[in-house]
Amino acid sequence: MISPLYIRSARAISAQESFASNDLSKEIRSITGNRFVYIEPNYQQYFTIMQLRRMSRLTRIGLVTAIECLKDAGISQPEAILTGTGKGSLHDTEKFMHAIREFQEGTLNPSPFIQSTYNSLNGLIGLHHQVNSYNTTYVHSGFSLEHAMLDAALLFGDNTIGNALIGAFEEMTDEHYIIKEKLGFWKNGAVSGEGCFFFYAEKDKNGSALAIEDIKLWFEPEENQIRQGLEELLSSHQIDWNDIDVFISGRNNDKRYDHYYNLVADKLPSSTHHIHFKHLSGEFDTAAGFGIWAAARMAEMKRIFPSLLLKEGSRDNIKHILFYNQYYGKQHVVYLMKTTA
Amino acid sequence: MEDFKRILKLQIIEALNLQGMQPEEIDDNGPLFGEGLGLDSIDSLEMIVLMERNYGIKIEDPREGRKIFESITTMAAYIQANRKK
Repeated sequence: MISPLYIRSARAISAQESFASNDLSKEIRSITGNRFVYIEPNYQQYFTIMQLRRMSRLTRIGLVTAIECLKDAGISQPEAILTGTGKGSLHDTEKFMHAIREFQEGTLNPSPFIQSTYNSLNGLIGLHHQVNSYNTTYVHSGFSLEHAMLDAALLFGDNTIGNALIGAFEEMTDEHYIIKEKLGFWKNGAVSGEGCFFFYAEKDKNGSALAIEDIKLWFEPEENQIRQGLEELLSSHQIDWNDIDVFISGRNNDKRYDHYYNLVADKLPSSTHHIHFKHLSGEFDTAAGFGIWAAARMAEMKRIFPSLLLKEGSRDNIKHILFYNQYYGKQHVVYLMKTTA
Repeated sequence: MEDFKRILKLQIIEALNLQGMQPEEIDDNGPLFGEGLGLDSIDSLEMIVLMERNYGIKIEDPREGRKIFESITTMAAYIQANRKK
């Protein structure tokens, strides 16, 4: 069991109109080809030309998302900045690597190298908000965001900090899409995605609408291990399958992995709402961030976004939310959440 | 020389990712670093790369670079006198 993370504010930049409204009620944006591309906000209202020159496509959305998330919570300086990313700024990584090849390891531009580092966004957030406290980026593929969450929970648990800005960010490039295509990522129906998500969490309840009560991670588990782990998770919180009001699953249209989600869905009563989200965000290492953002916003707004419903249940009051996501059968993540309002 | 200064400004705008800035906004004789355009040490590295790639000029002594990058005028004059391509 972890020290709960009380989510006070949540922000998302995604392929949907999720940022300006902080809602998913508006008309759903359709997909172009097999890639969901995030909608970029107008940066001019946030930064000057001189500031923008040092920011990549990904760090721009990351910083804007973090700014708005902290603004929503009325906080200027969080006690820690914790993020997760599977690949970081791919555009700059590719730019830098192409330059190494083209100029035969001669004089290279420093900016793409600086911006390609995974923790460049955390540094920018720290500089922008003048936060020089704990600042860490986790790069663990489908476990990246979860390690940022767990780190915050550990720091809350030992009273090192009382609040944290937690986030995830990912982008896709033409080249990386092709590499993943060759590796078979998209051949069975999954759609590529990208996005950025930030959460401001506190150790104490203080006006939050949603608490992340527990997190479980398994790497390449057997089905039995997942089944047993879920039973243990629920019993450790003195609840059972019937108490789950909403099940959020990371189904990505790739039928090879549906059996994992069915494992949970089959245990739940018909009154439980079943929600999915990757049909709107696409698949990527930290796509779970979009689902958690949706959960936080639904808890705050006290309603379920119709566009996310996979199977409508009959529960009116939403209290317990079970979130299960897995990334191509390797990283499996379960969040147990509870509405607090 | 005036045409060359304009080309140089366009190259600097591109190299330093100064999106939205026009060549007319950069003063020919104003300081590029600190006050003036407000460039910093990372920009100076980008300018060294620009000089090498576009004009075949290698700047190895930082003290030399400080003089060359004083303004668009000093930079243009140095390039015209030392360019290898």
